[in-house]
Amino acid sequence: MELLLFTAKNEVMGIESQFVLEILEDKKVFPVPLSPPPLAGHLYHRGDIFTVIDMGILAGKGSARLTGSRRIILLKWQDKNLSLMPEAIIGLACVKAEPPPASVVWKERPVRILAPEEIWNQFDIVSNFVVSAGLRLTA
Amino acid sequence: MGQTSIKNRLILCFLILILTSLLVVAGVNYFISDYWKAQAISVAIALGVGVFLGRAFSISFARRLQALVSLAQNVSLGDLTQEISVRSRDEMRDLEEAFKKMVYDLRQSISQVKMASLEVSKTADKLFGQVKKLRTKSEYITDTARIIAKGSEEQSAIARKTAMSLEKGLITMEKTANKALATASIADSAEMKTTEGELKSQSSINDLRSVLTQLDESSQLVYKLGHKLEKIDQVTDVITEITRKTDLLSLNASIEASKAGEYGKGFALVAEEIRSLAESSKDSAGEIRTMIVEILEDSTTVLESVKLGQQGIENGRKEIETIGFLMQEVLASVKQIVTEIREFSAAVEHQVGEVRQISEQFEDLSKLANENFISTHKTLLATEEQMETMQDMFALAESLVAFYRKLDETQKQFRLSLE
Repeated sequence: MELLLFTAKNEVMGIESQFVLEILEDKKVFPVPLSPPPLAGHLYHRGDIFTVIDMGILAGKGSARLTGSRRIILLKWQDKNLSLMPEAIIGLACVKAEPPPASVVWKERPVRILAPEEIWNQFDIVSNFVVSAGLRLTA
Repeated sequence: MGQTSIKNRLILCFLILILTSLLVVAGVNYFISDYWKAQAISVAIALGVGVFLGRAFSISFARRLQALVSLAQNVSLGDLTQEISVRSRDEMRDLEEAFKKMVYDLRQSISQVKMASLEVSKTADKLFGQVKKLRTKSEYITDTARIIAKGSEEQSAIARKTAMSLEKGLITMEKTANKALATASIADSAEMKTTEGELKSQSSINDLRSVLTQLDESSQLVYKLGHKLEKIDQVTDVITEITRKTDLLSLNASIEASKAGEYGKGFALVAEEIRSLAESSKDSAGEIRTMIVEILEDSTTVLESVKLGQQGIENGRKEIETIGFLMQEVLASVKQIVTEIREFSAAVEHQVGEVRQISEQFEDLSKLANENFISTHKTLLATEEQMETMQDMFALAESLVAFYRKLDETQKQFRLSLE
């Protein structure tokens, strides 16, 4: 199992590479008023709208946008679009575990493995609203 | 009336006695026949007549002598009021007249002596008063002479001290004159050195100008280096951007390769290598950037130093120019000082001559004051002697007054009139 490792406020996180669509850099993010704090906004990429989650805030340690590398990880699975705004991207790492555990150790550091579905569900209402609104706009 | 003498009277008395004796003898002889008897009676009668006549004569003579003796006694007692009646015409008259003249002369003399003693008394009183005043004045003169002597002594001492001080001052002034000459010589050398300094300051200004030009050239080179470094920095930015994009690209490639499973492993390796290469390039670019930043900082520091150096040299040039102007002013001042020192030296020499003259005059004055002191001392001694003489005169005046009193007492013993 390949994990894309990244950091958010000194916490190493990982996500399965199969969910990763692309890594973008310097992509414009449009903030959404009255949205919850981890929801940094939305971005538009090649005809799709991605909800951008600030991983620093999600980790409960402040925004990663202010100190990060301006890179955004685009996730796509089952017609769901989500993007993560980490602090820095470490790279790919191979983990031999099926099904994926909640956390692994990489180079003596604990790695929290994220499930895109859980994040999606956490922000389901807003995402659905925005996504549906985006779909309407694109339609 | 003719003057008779005692001798004539005695002769007359003797003749009368003889005549009487003859007459008696004749009468007795006539009446008495006895010779011896007659002789005895004649002798008796003759003796009786002789006694009578002698007595009468001696009485008249003794009475007048007695009167003269009484007169002489009264005169001896100071009674000059006695009047002598001159009645006889014999030698006693001469005596009486002599006595009378003597009393008259004595009276006149005593009167004159009295008058003279009165004059003497007045004179003695006046003399006493004058001597008293004179003694007071003499005492005042003595005191004044003492003060003058003391003052003269002090004056002499002061004159000596002043002469010594003038001599010392003269020595000091001579030293000052010598120092002024030495200072004039030093000022001459200072003038020469100031001229040299002024020339050297001009030379320094020229050197500084060339240094400034060189510094300008160096700073231009540093500016050019800075521009080149900025260009390198821009290139490094491009490299960094390329490495970043390469890194991103390799990362996405790795993700795509991982999605391809076993088929993408080779591509994943390549992508990983490219990514590590990009990372290395990024690190190298970062190092280059760090170095460029450091070089830029150093060049900025160098530029600032050069600017500071330029500013400092410019300030130094201005300062040296100011020093040059000041040196010119100092040179003018030194020339003026040299002139003034020479004038001062001449004035001091002139002053030394005058002070020497004054010193000589003061030495003369000191001698004069010394002589004055000796004269004053002599005057004091003379005044003291005069004072002693005054004391003697005072004593003499006192004795004169005492003598007058005695004389007056003696005069009072003489009665010159009946009052």
